[in-house]
Amino acid sequence: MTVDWLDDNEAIFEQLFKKHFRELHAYGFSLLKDWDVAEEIVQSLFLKLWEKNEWGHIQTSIKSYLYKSVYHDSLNYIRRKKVQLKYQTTTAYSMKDHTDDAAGKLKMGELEQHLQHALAKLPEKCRAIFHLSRFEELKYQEIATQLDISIKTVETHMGKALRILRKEMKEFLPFIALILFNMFKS
Amino acid sequence: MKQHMSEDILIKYILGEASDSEGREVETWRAASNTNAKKFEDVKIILETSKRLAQASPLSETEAWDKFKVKRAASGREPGQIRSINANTNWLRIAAAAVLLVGAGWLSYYLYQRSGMSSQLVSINTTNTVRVDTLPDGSVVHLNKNSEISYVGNFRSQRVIKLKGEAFFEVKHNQYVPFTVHVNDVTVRDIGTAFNIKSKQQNTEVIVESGVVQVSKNNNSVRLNASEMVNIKHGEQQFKVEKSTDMLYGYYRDNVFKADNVPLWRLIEVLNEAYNANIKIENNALHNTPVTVPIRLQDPLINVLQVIKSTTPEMHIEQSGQDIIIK
Repeated sequence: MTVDWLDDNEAIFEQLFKKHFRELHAYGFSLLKDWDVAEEIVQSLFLKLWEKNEWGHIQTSIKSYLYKSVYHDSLNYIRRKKVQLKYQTTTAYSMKDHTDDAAGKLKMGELEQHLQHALAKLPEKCRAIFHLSRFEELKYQEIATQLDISIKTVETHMGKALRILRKEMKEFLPFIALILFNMFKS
Repeated sequence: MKQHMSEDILIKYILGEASDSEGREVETWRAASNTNAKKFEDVKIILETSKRLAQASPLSETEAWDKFKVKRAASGREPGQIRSINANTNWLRIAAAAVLLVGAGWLSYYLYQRSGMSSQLVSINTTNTVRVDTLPDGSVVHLNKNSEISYVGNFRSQRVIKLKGEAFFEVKHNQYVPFTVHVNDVTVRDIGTAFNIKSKQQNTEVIVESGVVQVSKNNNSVRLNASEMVNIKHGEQQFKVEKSTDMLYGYYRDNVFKADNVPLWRLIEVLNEAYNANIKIENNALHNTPVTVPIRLQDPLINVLQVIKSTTPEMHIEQSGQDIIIK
């Protein structure tokens, strides 16, 4: 009887894991710009959840709990990393950046590429909110609940993100507008 | 006419979250000048392009789950690491000295407490969690949610406890110092036992798991043996001993609902209490259906209900607002 029940439990947990893993992985990547670290963070979060065996209690908003945890764990990681970076050269990092870019170039248009680059320059909190709004297409209210902040804060961060992106994309946008303009004409 | 438009509202409008009046504001602003129209277009392009940048995880769920299982197995088996103490780590010596100092301080405090007349009031209460505590005499108490016990002294000359709510006691036997629990206007006196006391709206229920207990109120008193219980209603003088037929009352101690051939109504009664839920049985035919299911306290209610449903095919479960209805 007990063994069956454990199996059941495992099945439910597996379901939970599989349902959310990929979206959380992508969310972590948005924040960290590193698939491996993001994976590590999401895996550890699930392990912690399994070990504490309290995941049944978080029933109503397990999704928002998971997102919140990935957000905080990622920010903590970045904070630690920043401290470490003070004592390290950043060679390894910038090298990685370049290879990522090269691979990305094959798949993306120029506009997307530049925007991608600009997105990486957003402060973490802005990026998290931008991710939830644009990639997960959550409503402001949902984002506010998920991150435990007010709707007003969400608005402010979206505005800030846009200001930064526009500034970063400055030389590109007129050009794009022209293309669009021509497209409509023809 | 507004010359400046806040980005915040602009974004809200493009994302479809602006109010009607904000929408009109944006449209008038946009139509006012080419610069404005251009800015509007820029923001829109950024927002729409960014949507296409959403990146999907390169891992499949199954791959990730397999990795998880490996990781979990590894963390389960991993023994604690043993590290040798480096001879030149001075801080360790300092830490050791600090530990000694604190230890000595605590020891003298402890000895002082023991020798002195310890008449401090101790109270332990719970809100959202169950708590297990060892009392000064070595007896163990499991305190259910929203409950409280309090006692005075170190339990060496008397063991008297006041209870609100619900608790399970495993009493360390000591024939010279009786263990007494006061709850509502009822006194429960144990003679080396494990028993559960629940008080709700001034009703008192005592269930004995092992040993013998004496329950008294005013001038009446009964003795309860193992697997016996009394339920004393507020204002009633008489109380009669019944058989305790199930082990469900122990759910908050064992973290398991031991539903072994329990009538459905009884299981639902305990679940409502434990999950603070409002489940009703509206199909009389199901009222006494015997149910045998293993349920752990930390399982989500929805899963629990599914498991119960799977034992009885003709059962239907519906949710309406806060209520869950079994038909």
